[in-house]
Amino acid sequence: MLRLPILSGFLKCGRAIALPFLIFLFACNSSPPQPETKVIENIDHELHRIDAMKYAPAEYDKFRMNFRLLKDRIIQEESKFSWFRDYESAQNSHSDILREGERLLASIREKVNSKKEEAYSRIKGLEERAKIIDELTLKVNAGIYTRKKLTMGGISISEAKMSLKSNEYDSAMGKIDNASVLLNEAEKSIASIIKRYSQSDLINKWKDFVRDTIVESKKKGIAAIIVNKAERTLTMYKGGKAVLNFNIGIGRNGYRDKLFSGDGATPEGRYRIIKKSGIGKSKYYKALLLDYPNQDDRKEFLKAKRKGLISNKARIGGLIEIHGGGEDGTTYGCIALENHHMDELFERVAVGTPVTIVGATNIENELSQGLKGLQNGY
Amino acid sequence: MKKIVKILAGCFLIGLFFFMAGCAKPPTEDIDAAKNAVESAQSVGAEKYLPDNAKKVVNEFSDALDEVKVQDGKFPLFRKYDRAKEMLASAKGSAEKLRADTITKKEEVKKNALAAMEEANGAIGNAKAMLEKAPKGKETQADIEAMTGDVKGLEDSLPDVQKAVDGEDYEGAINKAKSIKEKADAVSGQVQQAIEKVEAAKKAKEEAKKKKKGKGKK
Repeated sequence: MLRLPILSGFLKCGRAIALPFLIFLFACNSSPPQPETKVIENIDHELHRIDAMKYAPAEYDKFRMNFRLLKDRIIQEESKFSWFRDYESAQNSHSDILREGERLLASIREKVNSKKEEAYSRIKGLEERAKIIDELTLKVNAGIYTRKKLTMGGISISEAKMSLKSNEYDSAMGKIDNASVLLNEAEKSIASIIKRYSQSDLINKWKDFVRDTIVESKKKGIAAIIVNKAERTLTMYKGGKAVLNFNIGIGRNGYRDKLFSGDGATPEGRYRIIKKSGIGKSKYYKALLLDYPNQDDRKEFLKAKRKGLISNKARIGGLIEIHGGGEDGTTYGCIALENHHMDELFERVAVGTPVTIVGATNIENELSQGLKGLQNGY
Repeated sequence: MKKIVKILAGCFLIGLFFFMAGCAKPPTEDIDAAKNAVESAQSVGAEKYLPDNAKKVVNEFSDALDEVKVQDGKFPLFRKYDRAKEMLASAKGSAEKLRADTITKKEEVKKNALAAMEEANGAIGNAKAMLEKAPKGKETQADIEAMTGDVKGLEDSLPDVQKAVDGEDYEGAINKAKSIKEKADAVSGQVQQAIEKVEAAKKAKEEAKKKKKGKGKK
């Protein structure tokens, strides 16, 4: 009987001691709280999303390894009896890893942005280049192959833009490279035609042709015709002064120098009118037949044959005229004018009138400028 | 008597220990099941088609494994895997859903890619038909030749769409098909413009002729 009051007294006393003891124990546990890993997890998620593994594989690996170690440390502490948990070191690591993650995220974002900017800038350049090639191919009738390559290049550019929109930078860069290769191929095939228009020795030769023709017109007081292929104009001089100027159509390969029959090119050189055909006598309203081929043309034709540049069966051709039918049309090599312009010209010229056809008289012509635009790194 | 009590107490403690230990076995089967579900989702291309969801599921599984680790680290008598089991079950469920969603998404993207390819093909056919209708003559020969080249470029690009579909690069296939369609429509538009231009010129010529005739009669 005595035992019970003793026990109850002991328990009372025990509680009185235990309670402050427990409070003391918990109070003594001054460790910081368990670090919140969610923030780092979000950073990790974002790093994963922006392809950190691709842009900074070593740093991202290190970040993930440190994060794993932090998690393991927290797990280790969590496994302990709550009195013995100490998150101080975990908390320090947490701050370091968070800082590192934020720094890595910023650095990768910068890399991605710079890649994006580079891609957009290259696309802009390619689009400019494609535009110039497009204009030049239409101008010089570069043919199916060139247009095909240009179209395929355009498709690649369009694909690159779509890839960029969905943040697929590597895919975009691949498409950009592909577009660049295709445009290079298209460019090569037109460069062979238009590079003549930026050769100063050839331009000087053409200038001399023009000057001599105008001098002849002035000296003899006669009419003379100058055809400028780059400008697509026909100018008539009388007594050395320009009196008429019309836009013209030339051969479908008119920017090339005529070499053989059927090449669609418009000849370059000094010619004369050898026949005038009025209405009803020409398929194209009225026509002025030129004495093509001249001696120089024959020489060039034979040289090209000897070199094997043209087929052995090729003929030199002829029937190069200035005729009506409209300036918009392309011809087989002739020079086409609007019918009412042809009327004006027809009555002012005669058989024997000099006709000089040149590529260009200015090095800064449209074709050479186009080529320059392409070569200036677009 | 004391001996018997001691033996009984010993047996009770051993039994209790085994009972406790038996209750707190690591959920190996649950881990394997969740892991298989995650891998299965990854194998159907979850990372490619639903990258955000895939990452979330991997994280969920990783958190569940961490909870297992927390319990593993505790004194055996205090281990409780109930929460870990719940987390693993949830991760498994998410992974299974991810797998199903990925398959649906993949099918959807594939369907879109095939539809885009069909549209591109149709647009090329339309451009070719328009080109056939284009007014032919010395004046238009160069333009027709240029546009024929354009269509050739489109036709030569179309097999790449099929290649991309075959390689399960559906997004790439869609992008290419859309680009081809865009260009094909542009060619059709150009041909249409050319036709209208020629027709307008014809009309103008006819009207001019009529006017001339009218003036002559007066």
